[in-house]
Amino acid sequence: MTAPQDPERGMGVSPMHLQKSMGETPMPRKVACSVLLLTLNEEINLPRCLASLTWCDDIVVLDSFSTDRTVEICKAAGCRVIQRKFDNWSSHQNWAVSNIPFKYPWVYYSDADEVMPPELIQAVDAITSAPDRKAVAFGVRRKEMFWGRWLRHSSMYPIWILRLFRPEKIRWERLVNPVAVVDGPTVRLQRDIIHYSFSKGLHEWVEKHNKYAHFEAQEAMRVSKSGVDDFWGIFSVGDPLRRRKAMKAMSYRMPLRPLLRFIYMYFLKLGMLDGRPGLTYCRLIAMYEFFIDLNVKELRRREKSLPL
Amino acid sequence: MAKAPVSIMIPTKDEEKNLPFAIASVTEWATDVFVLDSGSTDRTKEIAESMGAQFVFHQWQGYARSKNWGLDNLPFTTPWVFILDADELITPELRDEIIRITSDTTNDVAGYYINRFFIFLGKRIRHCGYYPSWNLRLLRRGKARYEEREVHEHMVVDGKVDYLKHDMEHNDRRGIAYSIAKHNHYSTLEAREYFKVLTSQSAADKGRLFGGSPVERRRWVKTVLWPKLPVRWVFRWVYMYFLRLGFMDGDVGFHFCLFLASYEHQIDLKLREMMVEYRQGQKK
Repeated sequence: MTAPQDPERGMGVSPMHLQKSMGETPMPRKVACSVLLLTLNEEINLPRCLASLTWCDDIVVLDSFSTDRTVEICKAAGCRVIQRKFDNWSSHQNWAVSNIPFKYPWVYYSDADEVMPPELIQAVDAITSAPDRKAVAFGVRRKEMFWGRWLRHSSMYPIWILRLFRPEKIRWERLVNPVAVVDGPTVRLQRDIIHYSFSKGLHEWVEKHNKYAHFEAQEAMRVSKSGVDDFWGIFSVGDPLRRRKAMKAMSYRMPLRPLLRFIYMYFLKLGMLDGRPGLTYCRLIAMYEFFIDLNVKELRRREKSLPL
Repeated sequence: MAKAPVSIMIPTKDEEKNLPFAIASVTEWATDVFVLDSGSTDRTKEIAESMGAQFVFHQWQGYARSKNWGLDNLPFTTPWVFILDADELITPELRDEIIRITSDTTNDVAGYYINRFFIFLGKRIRHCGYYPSWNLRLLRRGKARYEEREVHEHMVVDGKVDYLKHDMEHNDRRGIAYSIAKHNHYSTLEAREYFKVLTSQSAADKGRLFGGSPVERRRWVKTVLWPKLPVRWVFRWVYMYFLRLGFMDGDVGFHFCLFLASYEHQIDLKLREMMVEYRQGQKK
């Protein structure tokens, strides 16, 4: 068998066992990595997502009491299903990595509306089968899909997110859009995941972002109160995470934030090259920013005990 | 304090957040307060009863029919009935006016319109096309009923009508997230309506611009022209903020108009989504 190529050193020949995963060949060897999959009413997305996770024999589904066929589908696919009441993103994910006994030392995190392409599976295999890795977490790029098109510009690709990690070395912060805090070196894998954020339609997208906006507003209040605006972070070239965080904190102080966000995405980041889906996406994100602003206004009144 | 000869009817469904304010604004001076509930699963009943209101359950039959059922069947003892929504309340000035009018035995009016102002993010909306907003809510028992239709029900009054001087307040305390969820729901329904007409093969559904009746012309504007207008939500915002003087409401007026525009915006994007799927389906 060909030894898996190290993805950190570029593309190599695909391992045989992955190439022959279909057909009359015997069951392929599984990749020595567990999967953590978070769900709430995901019957629509699950078949596509699970089809890209067949390489794994330890898929743990952390479900927030779905009322559709989610649990049934996951069990039929041989996943372990654990249910927990959702409180907020970081606390939910932190609970998972500190309480779930995974079969393997490595965990790949996935959302149900994501798909893992074969190149990434090969990379995960290469990493997890090598004995001594210094890195404890790996980032990947996310490809946002909308109306059948990859939002190359408007989604501000590449945005790096941590997806493969040692569960004891990672914790998350923030109530929503959690940011990983890693105890050890992290490495960027030059690999993509595919994100179908709109797979349930715009109605569900708005519903989801209504919830996000509520949490984001609380985060914005926390940041503005703590007074830890990291002004110089805006110019941090080497640390894009820090830059994004600083820009976000800063943006809450600007008037007409939704409009600025639109101009930034559509014109400066060339979202206009993404055609009709790009324009629609930028408009949706601007609206989402507006929802956050409204929530911030409401929270401010609540905190000052003003009549609502 | 002697109570005014008015009973209050509050239709509810899961109103635990708003109901305490509505009841508190009437309980001291109204003879009876009836909470007409259509199957709440929250603390509505508990709140109603603990605040001295009478809780009555009646299966939901649509806005008009449910309220008519209440007018016909609740055990009113007073000559006057006031219909108050759970997210509304009666201001002290309006209360005094109601007490004065209903206690006047020479009064021969059968129903009163009351003006209502909106509270958005804690502040009063005085323009934006949302004010004035007149609703017939105070009526002489047996003299007024709702016309039975699905939405936008109106009252039919047998006798003289008049207008009260003071306002009532509309303030939904379920918060902005609830309002966004409501907009999400209604904009989807609205987009479906537009979609039906846009993809309809029937000429009658679309109306006519030339050579038809005014009704056909209006239908044409609403179903053919309006859904095709670009940036409808901008028109809506400009209309509310400038033409209906929303700018005079200051910062909150700006956001209120933008919020209603974002509703229009959602209809637009959802309609586009349906059209994308429709065209993909046709290609296959």
